Amino acid sequence: MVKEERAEALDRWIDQPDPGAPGDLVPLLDLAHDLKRRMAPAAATKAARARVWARLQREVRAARPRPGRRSGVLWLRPAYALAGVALAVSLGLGTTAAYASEGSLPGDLLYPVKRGLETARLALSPTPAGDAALLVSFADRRLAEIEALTAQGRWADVDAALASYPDAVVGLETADPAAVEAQLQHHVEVLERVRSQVPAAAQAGLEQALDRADRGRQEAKDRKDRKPKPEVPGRDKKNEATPEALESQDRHRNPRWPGGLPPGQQKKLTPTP
Amino acid sequence: MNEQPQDAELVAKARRGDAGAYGQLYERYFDPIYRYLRLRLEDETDAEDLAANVFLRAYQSLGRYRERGWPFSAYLYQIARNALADHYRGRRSEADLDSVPEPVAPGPGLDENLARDEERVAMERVLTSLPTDHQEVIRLRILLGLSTEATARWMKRSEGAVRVLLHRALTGMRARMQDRSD
Repeated sequence: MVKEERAEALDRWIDQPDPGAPGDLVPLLDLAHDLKRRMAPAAATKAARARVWARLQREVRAARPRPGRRSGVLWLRPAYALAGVALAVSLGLGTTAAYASEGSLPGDLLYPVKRGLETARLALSPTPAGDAALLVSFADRRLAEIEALTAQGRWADVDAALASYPDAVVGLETADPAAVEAQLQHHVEVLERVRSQVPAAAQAGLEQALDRADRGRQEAKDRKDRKPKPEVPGRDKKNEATPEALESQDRHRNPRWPGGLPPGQQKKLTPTP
Repeated sequence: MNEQPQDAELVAKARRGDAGAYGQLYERYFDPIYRYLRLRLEDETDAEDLAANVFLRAYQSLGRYRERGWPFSAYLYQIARNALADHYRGRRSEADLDSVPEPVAPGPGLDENLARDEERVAMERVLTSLPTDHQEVIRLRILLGLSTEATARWMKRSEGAVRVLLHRALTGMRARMQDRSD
């Protein structure tokens, strides 16, 4: 039977190695020291930590139903988003709330209203060019949200904003490649700046966002180099970048729907005769 | 190993979908969990796979976790042990949970490394021949360097019981190593 005092002494000497340990404990202390020296695993590297975190995030996201396919969550569908906004307005939140939501950030109470309004604008846009221009502006908004949240040190919300960023970049595939290339080059620069400020836990999400922005930039460059910039008849260069101008120019045309929209931004179309 | 009181707060936030709170728990406990898995697995990739699995399982079962004196790190440790058991079952390894895989031999000509590796292998074999709780107390207290308090919580024992167990485990291991060298 091991006496408690002897066990306590061993335990104490393990934490405070000292040549003055009692003689009868020395062989056990030597063994403990030898075990530690030969078999103790090294600390996890930063790279391993980041790899596992990135994988964990992917698996958590994969385990969630994708918004665009979530049949049970009605508010994520464009038509229901419109109805939700209309309902919110009619219930007294009013246009002030809708206006106030424009400055909201992920994690804010009004942020779902902001995203709902975006989906509604997209649903109401009748042309691919109008859709593309809106998606360009939405991608810039996502970036601005990441910047604002970082400045406020809201790391949990930064993480969520970073996670939704790649979906915003996917939507740019239908926009003018030269403009997208310049836009995403700017995004890469901003995200590089943000990288130095976010905590380690958000680094994996940031790396994914950076990777997506850089890949999107490269893809846009490839598209630009492959074919000349498409001419839009009647386009006024002064108003080229504004969604409103593009919507106005294209409103008379038959709607066609571009592919590759991010989840949650798909909408149903009435088939063109 | 630092069992900080705010774990419960972080768990509560993570339950409400706060990914940042879970990120903090991950930052806090990734190292001991990963190192524990590295102790049990020869392959670094396997250890990363299982570490991701452990933190995913923990995240998905946050709703079922109740602290009540059982810290979150101990919960992760329990999940890690279960994940290891599943890993060995899945691989149909001849080894059970408490066995150790064959180490990778060092390159030819490295006599010193070879000798060191042989000593380590001999040590591992003796360790894995001990009763399971003796192996675990040595792994947690000596090889991972956890405090007696943390070891006790992870093993769901009193600190006094852990001290006595460690003394017995080291005494037993030393005796078996002497038997091998005789």
